[in-house]
Amino acid sequence: MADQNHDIALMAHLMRRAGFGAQYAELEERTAKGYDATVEELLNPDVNPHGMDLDVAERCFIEWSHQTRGVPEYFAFRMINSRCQLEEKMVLFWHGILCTADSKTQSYPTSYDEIEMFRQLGMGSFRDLLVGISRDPAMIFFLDNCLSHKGAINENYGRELLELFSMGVGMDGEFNYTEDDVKECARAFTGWTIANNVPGQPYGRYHAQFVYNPEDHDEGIKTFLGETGNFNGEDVIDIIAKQPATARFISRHLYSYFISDEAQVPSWMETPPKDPETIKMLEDEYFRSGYNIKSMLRVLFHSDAFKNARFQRVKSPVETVMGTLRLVGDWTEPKPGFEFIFDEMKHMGQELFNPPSVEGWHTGQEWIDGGTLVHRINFTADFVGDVNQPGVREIINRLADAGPVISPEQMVDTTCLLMGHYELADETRQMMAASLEKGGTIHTDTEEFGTRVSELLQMIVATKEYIYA
Amino acid sequence: MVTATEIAPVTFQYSHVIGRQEVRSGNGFFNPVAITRDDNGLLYVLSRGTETPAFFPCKRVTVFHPDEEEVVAEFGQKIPPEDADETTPNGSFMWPTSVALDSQGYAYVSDEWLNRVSIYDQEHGNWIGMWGIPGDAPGEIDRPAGLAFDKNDNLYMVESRNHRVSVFTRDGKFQFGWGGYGDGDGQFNLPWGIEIDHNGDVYVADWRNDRIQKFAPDGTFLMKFGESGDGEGQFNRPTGVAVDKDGHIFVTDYKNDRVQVFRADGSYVTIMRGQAGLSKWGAERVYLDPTIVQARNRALNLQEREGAFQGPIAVEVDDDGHVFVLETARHRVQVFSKQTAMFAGEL
Repeated sequence: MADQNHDIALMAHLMRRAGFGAQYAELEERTAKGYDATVEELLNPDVNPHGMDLDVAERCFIEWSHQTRGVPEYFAFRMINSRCQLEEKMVLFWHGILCTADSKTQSYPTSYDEIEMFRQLGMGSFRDLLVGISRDPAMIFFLDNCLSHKGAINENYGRELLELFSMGVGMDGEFNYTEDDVKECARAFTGWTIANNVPGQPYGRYHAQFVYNPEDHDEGIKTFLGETGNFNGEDVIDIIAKQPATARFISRHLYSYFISDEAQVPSWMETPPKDPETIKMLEDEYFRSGYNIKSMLRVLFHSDAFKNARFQRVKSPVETVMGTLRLVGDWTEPKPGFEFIFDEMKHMGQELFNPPSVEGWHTGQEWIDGGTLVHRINFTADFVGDVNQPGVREIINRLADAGPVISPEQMVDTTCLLMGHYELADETRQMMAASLEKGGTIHTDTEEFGTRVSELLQMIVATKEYIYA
Repeated sequence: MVTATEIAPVTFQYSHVIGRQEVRSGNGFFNPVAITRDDNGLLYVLSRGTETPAFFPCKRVTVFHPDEEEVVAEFGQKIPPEDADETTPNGSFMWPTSVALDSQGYAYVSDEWLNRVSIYDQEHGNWIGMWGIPGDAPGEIDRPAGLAFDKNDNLYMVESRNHRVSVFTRDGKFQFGWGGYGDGDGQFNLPWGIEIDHNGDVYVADWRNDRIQKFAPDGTFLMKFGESGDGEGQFNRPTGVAVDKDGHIFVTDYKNDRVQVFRADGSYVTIMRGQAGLSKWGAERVYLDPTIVQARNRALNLQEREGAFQGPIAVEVDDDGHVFVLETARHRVQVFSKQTAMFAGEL
């Protein structure tokens, strides 16, 4: 029993990190299948195209047709319902690193194409992903590469490609590249631009298109990171991909997203990784696999560092909202009111498709302040407090299986298990048990029992522990 | 000896396009989903709109003349999602799906969230009544989609989540029905559009089975055609169907972004892909701002990209050979004329 509990706890951890959480029945099912098999299923979404009945969702939310509107909601709906949870989690990962923002691009169709590109390439070769983002019309517009010309470069994309998308400013106290490298990188990407798009008036917005303009490409000799040649964009990406700094950069991002909150990215040059051994393991796999992200993820999910990292990361607002909805079983099918869900994440500090800058969202403790914390607790408490939600009913029914009467301690402990093996501090646990005790003997076969469970769920989601994943 | 020459058996001449994206009200549509036509030639287009609060009057029926391109009436009203329950005000829409006209010109609008049919008068679009009981028993409805009246004012309703067709009187009295979930003859998988031809036969866009089924007026299965795919005669989620006086069958092949035309026996004839230019209502908007005009002049492949069907969702025909194709993603109706062989001796 202890082993089984340990296995389910580990599965709950895996599904919170490699996905957006899972209900207890799914955890039991996956545990029976095994940890390794579940990791492989998560890593191979191709066997399950789209991971859900997208056509039915698109039929109900008709404004999603051709991605002319509602793209953030569309993305969020897929996070809740896709059976390919890691695929969506990786899309969110890249969306927070290879950042564009709708506040500038103002084109949901083109943002959708970017997200779809992350879905296609996000677990493949990092080199191919860098080519994909360099050809991404939203990125080309967002970082002004369409304004970069032969003989009159705009350094914006060249700089961010190195600083924020692949290598980082520095590593182990040393700079990874020079200002000249930035300029040469920008020269190599001249001619990578976008076609003049069809205006959004009068028929709505159109998907923007990448074009390569050889007339505007600088064909001169360039020296980049110590290599010299007539480099084009893909040559530069080949050089970037083989840098140790790139392996370090991606490894630290994966570590911070899946294992434990790292320092914020701008400090990585001076701040060493908190777990150098695991980072080294990921770096080695990066090179061994030919820059393959899926291979790195496989190593990560099987590492001791990952398995021992339960509740060491602050949930992002998206993880909080999606995780709570998956826990209670809401929004498993389309219904009116989904824009409200999207707005909740925004109020908690994470507006999909609008990261605060090209640096993405700051994570970890920075998600939490007085205002965002209140939003988190209010949102989660509203949903887990609704006894009509199927996931809440399931928790009530499973608790009732314990017998006609349940002790306060048993009720607290079992509820935490059913929510995904949350672990409360002793003091918190005792306070909750004492609170239940005040309500008198807990009879599980009464109508009142559901209310008492929902009140306990509301107390649990208001704890510090529920902030962590 | 007669030599065979490659000639398309039926051709269509693009006439014009009506509409623009109009998120509130007036000369345009917003995510339109259904189209029908009255005896005077007026078109009725149902905009499903969006929940976004700022776009409040976006769910509506727009009545307009297809030649003069003038709006003559608008009716229906959007409600916020939190009000979309049993307290929903009369005449309002949440997820409207279809509009049909009875012999007196009253408009019937189905709503698949509220599971009801709302009725409006033909003069000003005033709400005059509604009916519908949610459920799956005979006479109850679940997710009503396409609507069509026969010549005797019986209303044929596609119920997508009950996977069946139910027939009602105008005031909602259940007559008979057929169907059920499946992919056999006479079964459906989330069906959508419906059409009744000049003989009273019934065509249903069997959406998730990627096919069209044809029935006698009493529901007897007659034929089917189509399968999943993007080749000739294949469909990717067909939504709407219309049949003209010659028996040609027009199907909006929604996710393939095309309209396919079939003979009365279901054999494939041709594909229409759209060729819209700038509409009259679109020009009203574009010429307000010279920068939009300039941007249109600079746009790469404007004609090809703007002209193509995007989200063709419903189709209507008249007895004069006109075909009206409604596109939900582009908020417009493209109008075509069926051509006969040209004899130009008089020129």
